[in-house]
Amino acid sequence: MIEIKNLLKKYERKTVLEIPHFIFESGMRYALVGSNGSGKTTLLRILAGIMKPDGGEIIKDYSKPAYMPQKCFGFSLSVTANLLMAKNDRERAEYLTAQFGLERYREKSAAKLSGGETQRMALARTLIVDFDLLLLDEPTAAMDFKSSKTAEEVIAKELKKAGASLIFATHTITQAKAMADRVVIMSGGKIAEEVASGDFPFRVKSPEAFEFLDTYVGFTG
Amino acid sequence: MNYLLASLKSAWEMMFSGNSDLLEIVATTLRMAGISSVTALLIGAPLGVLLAVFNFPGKRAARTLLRTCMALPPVVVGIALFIMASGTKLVYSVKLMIIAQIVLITPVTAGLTESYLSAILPDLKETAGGLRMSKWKLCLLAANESKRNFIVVYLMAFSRSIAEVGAVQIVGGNILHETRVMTTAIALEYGKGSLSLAVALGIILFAIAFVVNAAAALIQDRIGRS
Repeated sequence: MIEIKNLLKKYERKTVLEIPHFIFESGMRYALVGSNGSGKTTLLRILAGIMKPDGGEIIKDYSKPAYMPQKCFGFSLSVTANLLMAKNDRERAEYLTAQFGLERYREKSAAKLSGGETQRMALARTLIVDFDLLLLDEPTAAMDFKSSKTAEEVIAKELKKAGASLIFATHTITQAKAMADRVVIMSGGKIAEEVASGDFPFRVKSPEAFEFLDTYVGFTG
Repeated sequence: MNYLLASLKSAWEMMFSGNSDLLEIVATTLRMAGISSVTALLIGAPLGVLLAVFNFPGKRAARTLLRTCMALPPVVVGIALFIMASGTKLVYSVKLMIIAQIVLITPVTAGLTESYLSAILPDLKETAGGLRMSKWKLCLLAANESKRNFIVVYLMAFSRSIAEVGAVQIVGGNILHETRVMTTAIALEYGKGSLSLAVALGIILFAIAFVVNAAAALIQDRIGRS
């Protein structure tokens, strides 16, 4: 369980994240949805330990987070070497590159991959690390439909193997529904509402959540 | 115009006449610039990487100091080294000229490396942090990402070293067959009123710098392709 209490983050005096209280249950898969600037990335970065909050407390039950940022950075090394830099396990590197359809790119420089290929490599590189919490920021945004579906399947499989929790940000409500148990709707740096992904179309109560789903997605009950 | 043509003719003749004095000066120049620029790169580049990657109290002040040192006046460095080395065998030696150059160009190599990395480091740090990599691994990755930039940094160092005159004149003394380099020879010829010879030496210096730059560009392209 991850319990968030009075979490606060500011950028140049502007509050970008403010969560009075929220609980992410262990072993569950959460999708963070919301318009640009709603605080999804900031929350993921804080949970990954990459960014320090300006206030509040996070009671963690995880010690090995693995986080894939929105902007995937391919190290100027081969695809295989990228994975081996994250964890020196050649067998698993070969397995994961195969899972993401990157076999023929193994010796190619990651700096020369296309956007979608880089994202597949970055996902494989994140999944090679030992983790008990997987944090993904728009993990398939640059992928085509088929690659995106494959990636979702691999993530689900690896998550099950690791027995880990998942929190990911997405702009695709169908992906949130397919990959997550719970959907967390964020707006203006706050958690507007949390719904079960199975309760589709979502019946939300807060005006912010309704506005997001109605305006940006068009999925409200 | 006639002056320039005469200088070009002199430069051409000097380069292909096998003039032993000139060859000696060119060799001393290349030795001094080569050793000092490589040493400055070997010291400055890791320093720049460390400064970019690690956070520590006073980092901002350290960065400001480094950038200030990039503009160290060569004459001041020359005088300071001359005072420190006076009474030793180092005075008026190529060794002290090399030391002076290292003092002058190490801040350049460190500053340029740090400055280049500060542009790419946020993304690299976020990626490496997400994979729970150590800071030392991040340093290795940062150095790897900078490898093409190191060629540019080296060229800057070499160019500054080969073209420098103030410090080498003071600590080397411009002694023929000992510490005379291209720039001090040019200054000497100018002082004697042999302008065409001074320009001719300048053209040779430019030609050397051109060859080094062309070679570096080839290496940079090769690294880029790989």
